[in-house]
Amino acid sequence: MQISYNWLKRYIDIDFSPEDLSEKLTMAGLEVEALEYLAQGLDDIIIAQISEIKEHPNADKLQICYVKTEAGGEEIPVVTGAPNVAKGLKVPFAGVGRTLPGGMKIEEVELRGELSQGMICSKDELGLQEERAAGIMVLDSDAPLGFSFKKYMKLDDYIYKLDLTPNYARCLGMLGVAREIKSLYAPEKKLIKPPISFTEDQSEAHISEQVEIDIEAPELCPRYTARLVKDVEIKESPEWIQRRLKAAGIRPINNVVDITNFVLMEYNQPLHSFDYNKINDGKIIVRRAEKGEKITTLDEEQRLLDDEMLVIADPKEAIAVAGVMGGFESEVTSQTTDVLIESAYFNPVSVRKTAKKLAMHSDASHRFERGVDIEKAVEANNRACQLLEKCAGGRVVPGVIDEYPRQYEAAVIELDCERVNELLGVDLQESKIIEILKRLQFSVEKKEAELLVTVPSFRTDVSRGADLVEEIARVYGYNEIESSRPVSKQRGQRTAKQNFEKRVKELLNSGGLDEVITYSLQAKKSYQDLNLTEVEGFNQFVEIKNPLSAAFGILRTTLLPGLIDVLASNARRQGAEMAVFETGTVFRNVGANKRPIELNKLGGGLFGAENNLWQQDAPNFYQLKGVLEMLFEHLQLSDFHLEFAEARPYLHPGRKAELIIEGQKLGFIGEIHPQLAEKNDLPQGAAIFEMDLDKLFALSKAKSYHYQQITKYPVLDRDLAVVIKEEIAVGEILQAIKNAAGEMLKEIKLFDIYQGDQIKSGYKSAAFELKFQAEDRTLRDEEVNERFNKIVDHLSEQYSAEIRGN
Amino acid sequence: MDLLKELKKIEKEAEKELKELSSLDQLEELRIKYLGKKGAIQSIFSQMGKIAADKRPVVGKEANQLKAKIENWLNEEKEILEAEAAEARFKAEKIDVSLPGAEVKAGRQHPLSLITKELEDVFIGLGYTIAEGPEVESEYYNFEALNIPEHHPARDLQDTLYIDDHYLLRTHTSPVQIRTMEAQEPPVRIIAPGRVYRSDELDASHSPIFHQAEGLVIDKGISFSDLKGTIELIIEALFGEDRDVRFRPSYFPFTEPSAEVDVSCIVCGGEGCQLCSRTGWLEIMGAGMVHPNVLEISGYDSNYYSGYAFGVGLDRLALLKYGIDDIRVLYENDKRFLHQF
Ligand SMILES: [Zn+2]
Repeated sequence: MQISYNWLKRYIDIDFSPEDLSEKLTMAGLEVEALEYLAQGLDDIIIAQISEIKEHPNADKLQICYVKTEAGGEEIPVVTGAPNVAKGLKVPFAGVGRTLPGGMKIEEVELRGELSQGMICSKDELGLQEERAAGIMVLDSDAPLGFSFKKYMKLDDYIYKLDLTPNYARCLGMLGVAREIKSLYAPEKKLIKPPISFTEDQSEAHISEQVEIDIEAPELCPRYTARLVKDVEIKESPEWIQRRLKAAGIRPINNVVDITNFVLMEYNQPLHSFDYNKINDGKIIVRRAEKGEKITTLDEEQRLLDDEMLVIADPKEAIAVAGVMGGFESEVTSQTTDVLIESAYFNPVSVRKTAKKLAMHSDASHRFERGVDIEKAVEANNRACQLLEKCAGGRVVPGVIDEYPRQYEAAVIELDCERVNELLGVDLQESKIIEILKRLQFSVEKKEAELLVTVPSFRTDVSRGADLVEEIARVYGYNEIESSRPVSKQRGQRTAKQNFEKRVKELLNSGGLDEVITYSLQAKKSYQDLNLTEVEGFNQFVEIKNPLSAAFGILRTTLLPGLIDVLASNARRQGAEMAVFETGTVFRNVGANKRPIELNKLGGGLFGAENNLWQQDAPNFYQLKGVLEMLFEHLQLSDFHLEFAEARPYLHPGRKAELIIEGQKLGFIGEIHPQLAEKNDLPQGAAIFEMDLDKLFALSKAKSYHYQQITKYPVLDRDLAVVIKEEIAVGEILQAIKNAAGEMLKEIKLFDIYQGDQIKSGYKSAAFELKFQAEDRTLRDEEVNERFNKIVDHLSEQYSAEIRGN
Repeated sequence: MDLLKELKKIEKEAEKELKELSSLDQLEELRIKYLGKKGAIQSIFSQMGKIAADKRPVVGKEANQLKAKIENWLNEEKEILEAEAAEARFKAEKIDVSLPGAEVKAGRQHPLSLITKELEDVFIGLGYTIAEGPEVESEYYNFEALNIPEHHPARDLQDTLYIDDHYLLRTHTSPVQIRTMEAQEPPVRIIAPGRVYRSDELDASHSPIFHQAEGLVIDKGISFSDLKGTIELIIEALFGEDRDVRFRPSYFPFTEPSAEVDVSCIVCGGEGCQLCSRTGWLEIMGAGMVHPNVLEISGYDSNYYSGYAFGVGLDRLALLKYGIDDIRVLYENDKRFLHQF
């Protein structure tokens, strides 16, 4: 919705400045998105006349125009290349020292040796059109010489682009905006109503003898009015109508169409004009379309209709889609002489459904959807007749047809003033509330302790007390209401799970991982690129029915693609190292029309780690594993180990594992498969993990802190180096030592892995540091030695382990 | 044999040798030489038997005095030498404090998390609990229960991404209002941060995926003025005391009255600049009194209870608070960006 300051002043004589009005509109709830001054930068442009033209002596394509800005004034030379200059033309002109809308200052110049002291302007140079003009702008011959161009063109006007929310339907017309301003800011001013009087041509038979209206679907069309105007001359509308429409952002077409649009803009009442002579039998039937019925609309598109749609028809066929768009066949053309003007009320939901189904959003449907003032249908029709008589030379046929099968019944709302004050936190007298409502043209009656408020027909947005409370607040002023704060009786807090997630994030931060947040809508292609489409779970895609693009086509089933993308894009930017994690929802499709499963996941990955731990040439893997070990240790989940993973084709076949915590598989860790890393621009060896955060929470929930007495007895150290077959997992040996050592072993740590010259081929040496301690006494050497030997015996029995350096 | 003379001689010699001392080792040697079991003083005592008995007490006394004296000298000298040694050691151990410290790699919080946590903490302080809801929603929770019927123009306010005829991606965090009301009786006091989706093309200021936080308070006697006071407090907590706040009428189907909340521009302070489109104000959140239809559909008595609700865009908040000019930057996760927080 777009309105002009000057036009608005035709309906209410406000004295606010344009800027002030902008602020007032916004604060009234009619948000001004943009305020544009039409004559921006045109102050310096005046009207001049070309009095003489000479050929440019040195350039074929240039001419020298001599212009004057007053009769008998001096002749100013202007060199121009415009093809349409001619002697005697009136033109917009900018002299030396003057500025154009773009900010360019006109200077005296020599063009190929000829003096030029100004500029004759084209429309685009004046900011009046976007595209480049072919030549200079030519004004009417009666344009006054030397006069201000912007005043002559009536450009001294401001345009407000309003972003109207659906509850401001009443402000989709100039009169509605004027009424709103009056109610809120200028109650003393009078609304200036448009003239609606015209002469009915008594030589014509009454309209009821020429036109018949039959409403077959009153539930979709509670009111339909029609008037007939004959012998109109189809031509351009007068300049003032065109100017108003342009200001409202509507393209002028011809006088009849322009007049219906003009009235639409004034009254917020869409009108439709039919070529009367194309209506068979002069009979209009307002009915539901038949299933499969077709109509060619104004835009020459054939539309397929169904029985939920309302059409305007003659006995033969549909001639308009009611409230949405007219039909091509009955359109007003240059040959039209007699027009039937429709001013009706159509059911908002029906119009909305129809417009949506046919994908035809029009100025009319926009208004009908939001509800128009049913009581103003005839007045708007009369206004159109007045203009048709005045601007199209039409003869108005006597009478109006007003089929009104479902009479408007004003809603009456009971309002409790005490409740109003309670809801707003104010203390308004009943009389003040009544005054406010009356200002807004509600009628108010008192009934015992309550008010009975009758809603005017243009307030299609008001249906219950809360709506009135908003109106009272709006007039009183939102910013006049004092601030307070409700007292809390509860303690604010996060849930245990929310605290857990917060803690996990903090721990991962402390482990050196940056938190990332990635899109949960993704491209299926990235799953193909990562060999994830065959993986169970990861291939349970939830597809978006109306995606913005393939890049946002599905909901993520795993955090992997997002994490890999982050790692890869940072690697591409020459990042030498990166360590990240993300927590977030992933989605799994469990069948059509079933709610997808939402899982809360934790994932992460890193590359660029340098510590070649255990000489495995897998620094990223062990770095990431270390971070997870730290995390689980802090969460008191000590029973954690990795189990070599058989599946998971996206990971390095020799470097992938299941994360097992307290016997449950919670996720995986591994290096990205080298070929996928290559394909996805990821550094080789980048490690990644993902696990179920909710399951992790469930496991950690049982844990709580409990103080253990600190043992004061001394620790006895023993180192143990064993040589085992290289395929035996060190973790297994570690566990075996723990089992054999019993409670006396307080701590065990691997400190070296060795394969090489001193070890026979196919074997490796693993060295552990063991710490023995008792809770209740000082351990004796012999006790520890005995236990140590037991461990050694166990290892040699179970794993044929040899003790190194023993 | 004149032991007294001998003592004098020892004294002189000791004094001389002490003066020439240069190390703690030498000092220990001297201590042994004079005071040791076979030292000079001891040798005097061992010769006592050879002198006249009446002279013994005199010599004994003198010898003891000398012993004490030398001991004193040695101790004094030791202190000095020790101080010198310490000083020399400290000097030798001097380091270049300007050399860089060991690298400790702690990870960073994402700015969206940072702002969410900040907001949550303010509300927890006000007695709110943190609520959550699913990202895939039904028409009912996302629209109908929020007073947005199927064929109402209010549906146009948000472009929705659909999954099928029943489910869609929530377009706002407001469904959590309904889920909360269904699950509990008043009083309600929640804040619900979360991810939301719209069918908006990605550009510098729009993203099909973004984050909101929804607030909902319902109790007996909750008023619009309570809403104002709460929002003013939040803005003060997030943007400081210098900001002006204004409320202007707006429309949300699930609140009535509804308000848009503006804060005076954080760049120009109200003068008008590019950020605020020369208006001096920045739109920061939507708010309003919970619509009685919404209370009723969730089984609350709208004549007895009242409440307010508000929704704030967390991405926008992060952009404003941290001076980021492009929403896409939040989701690119460039390390050079992440490491600024
Ligand atoms: Zn600003």
